[in-house]
Amino acid sequence: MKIQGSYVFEAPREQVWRALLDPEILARTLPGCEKLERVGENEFRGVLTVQVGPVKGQFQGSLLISDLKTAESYHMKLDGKGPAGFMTGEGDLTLAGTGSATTLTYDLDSQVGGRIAGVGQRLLESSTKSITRLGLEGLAREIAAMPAVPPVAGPAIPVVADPIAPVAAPVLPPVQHLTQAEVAARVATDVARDMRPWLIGGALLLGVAVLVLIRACGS
Amino acid sequence: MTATPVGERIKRNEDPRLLTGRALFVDDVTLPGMLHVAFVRSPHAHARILGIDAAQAREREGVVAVYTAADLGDYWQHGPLLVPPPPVEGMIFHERTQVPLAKDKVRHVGEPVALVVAVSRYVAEDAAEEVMVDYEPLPAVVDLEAALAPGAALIHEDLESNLAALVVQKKGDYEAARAKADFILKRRFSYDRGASAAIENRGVVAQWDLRAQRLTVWDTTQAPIPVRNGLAAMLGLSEHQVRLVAPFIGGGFGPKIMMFYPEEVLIPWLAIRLEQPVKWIEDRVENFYATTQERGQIHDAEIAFTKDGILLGVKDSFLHDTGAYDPYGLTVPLNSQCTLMGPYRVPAYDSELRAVFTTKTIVTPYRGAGRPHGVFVIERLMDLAARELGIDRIEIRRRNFLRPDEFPHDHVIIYQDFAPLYYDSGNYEPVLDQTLERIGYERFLAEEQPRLRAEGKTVGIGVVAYVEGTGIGPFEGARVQVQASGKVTVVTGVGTQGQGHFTVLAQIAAEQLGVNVEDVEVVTGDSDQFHWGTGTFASRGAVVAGNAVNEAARSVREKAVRLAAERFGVPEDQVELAGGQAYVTTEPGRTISLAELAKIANPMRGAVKPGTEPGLEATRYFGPFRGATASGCHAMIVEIDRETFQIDIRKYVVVHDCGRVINPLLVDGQVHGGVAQGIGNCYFEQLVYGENGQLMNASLMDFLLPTALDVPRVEVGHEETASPLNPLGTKGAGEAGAIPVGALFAQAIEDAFAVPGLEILEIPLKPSRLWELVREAS
Repeated sequence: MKIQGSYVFEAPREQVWRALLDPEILARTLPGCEKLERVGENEFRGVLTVQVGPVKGQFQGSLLISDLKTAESYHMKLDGKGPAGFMTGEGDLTLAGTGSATTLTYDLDSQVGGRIAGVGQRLLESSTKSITRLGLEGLAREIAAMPAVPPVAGPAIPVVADPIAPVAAPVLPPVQHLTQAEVAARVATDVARDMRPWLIGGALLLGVAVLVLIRACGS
Repeated sequence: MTATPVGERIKRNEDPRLLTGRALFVDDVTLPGMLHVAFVRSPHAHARILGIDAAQAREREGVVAVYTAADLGDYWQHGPLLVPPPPVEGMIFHERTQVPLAKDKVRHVGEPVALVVAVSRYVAEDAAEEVMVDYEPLPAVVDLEAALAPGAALIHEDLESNLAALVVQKKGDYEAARAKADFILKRRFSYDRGASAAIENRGVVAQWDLRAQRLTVWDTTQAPIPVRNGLAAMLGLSEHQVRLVAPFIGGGFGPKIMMFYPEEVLIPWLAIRLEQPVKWIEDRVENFYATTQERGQIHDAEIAFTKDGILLGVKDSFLHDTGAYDPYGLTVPLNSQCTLMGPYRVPAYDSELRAVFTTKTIVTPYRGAGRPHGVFVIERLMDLAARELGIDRIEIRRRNFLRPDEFPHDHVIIYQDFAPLYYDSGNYEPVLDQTLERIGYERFLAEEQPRLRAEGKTVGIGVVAYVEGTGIGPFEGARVQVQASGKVTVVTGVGTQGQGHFTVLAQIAAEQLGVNVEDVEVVTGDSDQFHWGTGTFASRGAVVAGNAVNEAARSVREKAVRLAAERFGVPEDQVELAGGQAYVTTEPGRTISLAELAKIANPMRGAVKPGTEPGLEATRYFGPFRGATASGCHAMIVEIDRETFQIDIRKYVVVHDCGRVINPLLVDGQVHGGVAQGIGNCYFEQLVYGENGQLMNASLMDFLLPTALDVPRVEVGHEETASPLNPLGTKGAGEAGAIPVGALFAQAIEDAFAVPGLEILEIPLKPSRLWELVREAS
């Protein structure tokens, strides 16, 4: 499966770049991410819970970043596995733009196997799209809440400032993140929207399922 | 009651128990202290196992043990080769059978890697999720041609390629036939995989009685005796220390044959090792990966005709997907090879089969077992040739049918039972005529189709013919006993999977002994009751076990008649059995009940004469010399919605010749079920594997089974051409419903669209695929 697309952030490239390398920001924005920590200079480990249709599973994985071109691009390799199967992804993230708008382009080849592929297949692509979009929207909120930084000079990876350090965010409202139930609801809505051309009834059913799920999660 | 129950439409003896929930299935077995197993299965189609970490799983509360291949010691063995390769000169066969738990690498998604034993299935499942397996993924091998291409990843690395087998069989001289031909037609045909999707998944429960030193195994198998014998050998026990019970089975369809599945081999071992009963029931997702599948083949076939439509020869070269291992030998592709000549006179036949290893679930027989492919190829060739030669599709079949005086017919090549392929008997034209009559062929084409087309409807008719090799050996046995109550017990070792053995076998015994069918109790699937047998497969139960029951009941009858004759002081030929009694034909008032005779045969004083045996009991075996060839025709009228490409089967007719029919009601039921499975196979079900070897529709949400709305009422007619190969004159009927459905769909759909360029060369179809084909052809 290909995961491809682009997203425009209202922020300079340097700021987006910094967020893309910050495990704490990524952990907060990636839907279902329960943990993400840096274990090497460009290596991260984490735990992600993913739900695709009827299959929900926790994936333990690693993220390896290479070929860093500061504020321009990096290559990433994701490797996750868990009881519901495995998911891997490899590809490039590229930043482009000048001034206060930055376009992020992502192009990854992904492999999914096991129960999540066998049982969740029909919802896999639309769920992935939705999860990606939710993640990017979260990232945009984080970036908006980050203190402005001067453009990065030189090839070194910037030392990441604590993005929620009180001194750094004096006026911005606190960033609101989605709860698991909210993520599930948003993904289900997106999946239903994907199906609409041929399955309005299904979308309605999914809507009902989402309500049930939210109530179940809330109780 | 009826004096001759064989041939009567009798309701099933077993149904009251089944319908009121009083029949035992494996999952009903619950024993004190029973432990439960969950398997850790590979998410990869092909990968090396670098390590397994079960430490966390072992610590979970309620977990009794976790086993990997390394923990099995000497018990880790490749499974048995269930069917040896056929005695064909120049044949290649690479035996690579499955293992209980994958050791160095995994070869298909769902292959078991480890197992967890716990106090409940819930705990076992949770712990199984905690077993971490480190895999190094290897390239998946999915496409059959790519699998044989140079440089393909090797599934079994000790082999030079992924070729599992090569068998070339020839009859006559095809090249000479081709040289004489006026017309040659060549096409590529493909048939894809499906799952048999039995209502009941597999399951095994095992209990080791420490004090009796006996193992009892409840297993969803179609072949209880071979499984008992195999388990005894593997576990180092005597055969009599193992009791194998195959109770009621919720559908077998082939995959529940004597497979020695990993779970089947491991659960009994665990019960002995842990000295506690152990249970495993397959869940539906597991079933999609771990239970064998069938149907993937690609044929390149050519047919040679005279200009008058006389068939001169067929040449076929095909690839057969055997999956990751080949424990069932070549039964499936041999069936394809041997069914391809159909009911026709084929003077020259040249067939090359290549079985190919792929990183997919193992392939073993599933209802039809290779025959649907052979029928699809020959029937499609007949249709397409008829079209191009300008001969009516029915007429071209008539011209090439074997005539009644051509039986027995020697097709020369070797069949799945390793005997030369002989058609024992047949009479094909009356079957075809009855089919045409019932479907209303002429009237449909002359009146209804034009009228419906004028209304804008897309409707077509199809009529296809087929043969089915059935009732193969080696043998089955039966013991028939008249009890002191006068009731009769029939015991046999053949497995049962819902066909109605409890009724059919009872009818046979009842006819011999002159008792009510309801008074005959049939016991099957318990190795403590009868320990010789082969199993239920190849449409052989009624033929082979049926004739064994017939022979045993005949012996009991002779014994009863002899005793009664002695008692009455009349010659034996003056004694008959009827109504549960023996009577003197010349003096109908002189009777003695079978119950009384049973007591006389088992006296408390006096002596049983030397050379005789006590009791009104006999055990007999039957092994047919070779398989009996059944035949039939299917016809249907189908309407296709031009907007959605959904189909509506307006009429479906099957006329079937399985020799002497023991119970038409049950044969009808067999045919109905087979047709339903065939329809699913043709237009609903397909196991879709991605390039990475992942099964992409491993649930009943996405693997569509036909429902009651999709399966029409099937009208069944019978012709009876008795088989000379067994005293009852029967042939098998179990697979006839499923075999020709693909060929029928193709012809009927082509007829409906009437687009000259539309050729349906593949099964399964589905609305989207049919839409593509029609669009390409238009």
